[in-house]
Amino acid sequence: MMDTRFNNSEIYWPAVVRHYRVSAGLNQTELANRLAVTQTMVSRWEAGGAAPSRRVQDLLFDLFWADSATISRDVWMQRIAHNPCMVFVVDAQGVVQTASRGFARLAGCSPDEIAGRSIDALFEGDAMSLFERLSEAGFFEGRIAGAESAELYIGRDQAAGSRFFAHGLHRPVFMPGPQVLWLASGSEVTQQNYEDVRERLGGPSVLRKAI
Amino acid sequence: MAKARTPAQNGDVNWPEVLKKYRFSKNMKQASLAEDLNVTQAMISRWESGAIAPGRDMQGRILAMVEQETLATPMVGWRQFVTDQPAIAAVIDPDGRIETVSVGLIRETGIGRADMEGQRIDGVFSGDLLKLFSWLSTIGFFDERVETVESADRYCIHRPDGAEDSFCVHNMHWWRRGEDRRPRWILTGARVDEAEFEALREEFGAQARIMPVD
Repeated sequence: MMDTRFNNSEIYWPAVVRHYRVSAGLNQTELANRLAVTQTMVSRWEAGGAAPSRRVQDLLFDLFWADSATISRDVWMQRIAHNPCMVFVVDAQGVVQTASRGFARLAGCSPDEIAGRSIDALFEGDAMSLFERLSEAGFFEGRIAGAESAELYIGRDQAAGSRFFAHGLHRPVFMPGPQVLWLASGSEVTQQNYEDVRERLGGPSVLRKAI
Repeated sequence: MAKARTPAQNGDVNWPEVLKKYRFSKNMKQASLAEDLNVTQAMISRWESGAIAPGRDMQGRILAMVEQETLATPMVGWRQFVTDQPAIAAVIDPDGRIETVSVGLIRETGIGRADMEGQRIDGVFSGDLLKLFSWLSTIGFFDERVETVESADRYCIHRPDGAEDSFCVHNMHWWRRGEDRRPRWILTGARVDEAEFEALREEFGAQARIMPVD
């Protein structure tokens, strides 16, 4: 059962604003100019004294997007569906929005059988723990810059082939809504690789907070 | 003046404090911390009460976890994202020079970063990838005329020690502009078995195709 406490992630604007500003190498005045607001306003958002208006929220997420990709979000989603590697996008409720062809291949089914279902319903073990860990750390609120992990995926209702070790890389994607989605990309690895990654990380995953 | 204790000198680390502070900051239960560290929940409880200290190996893991967890970082750039990819990935310039390779490509080929980055692709690979590169040039990929390409390729690699290897990869390619505004070839892929490779070739009707728009 999905835990309901994950179901209302609100964006934590102080982290998102500061994260974007620092990543883009801007000072408060420069960011204020880009968003057509005053520097005082940017300072208040970062201090948590006020939340950006809806217009600015969307603009900020669009800037985030433009800095990391040169294509539209629609084309990007479509590209993920065709991706031969293990890639999936999950929302704050733990529901898979898009799964790649490569991920479906590993899970032993088609991408359509994965999209729209919750991680919890699809896999036993590590995948759900990782989602919970990200969620509890505020990933869907924009508090996390990235994460790395090693998991054992065990399909709940698929054939015997759907048990595989994976090495994953995770980052937030800023989508309209505004909402933060979890982009997981990775690769199937040998059990030895999986153990080596866990050893290096000092555990199943390492999360990096947004500045 | 009292200095903050650095985790390196962990002879007299206050383990109950370190563990509880970490756990509370993450809003974690003892059970989930136990799972992360692969110990029992009772063990976490004993460490936190100060009844016993974690063993030496475990001390290292806990400190690594605590230090890494508290590291705040800016959003990584696209090139770093390629570097860190567990899957096969690379950034190649329009002249065929390999600029960046992923952790996954290093793992799959067994060739080190220094022996791939800066090389031309024909210095590391032969066969399908070279054919693909010239085909991409022909269809205007480097002139930004094509958005996404997929291919099924047999990677033939030459290791620096002279060893040769080959394996099948399902690839996807797109371009993005580099720091100097020139387009770069972003190659990503996953290893597949012979049967899947043949099936993909059949599906594409060729080694590679421009990805159809849904």
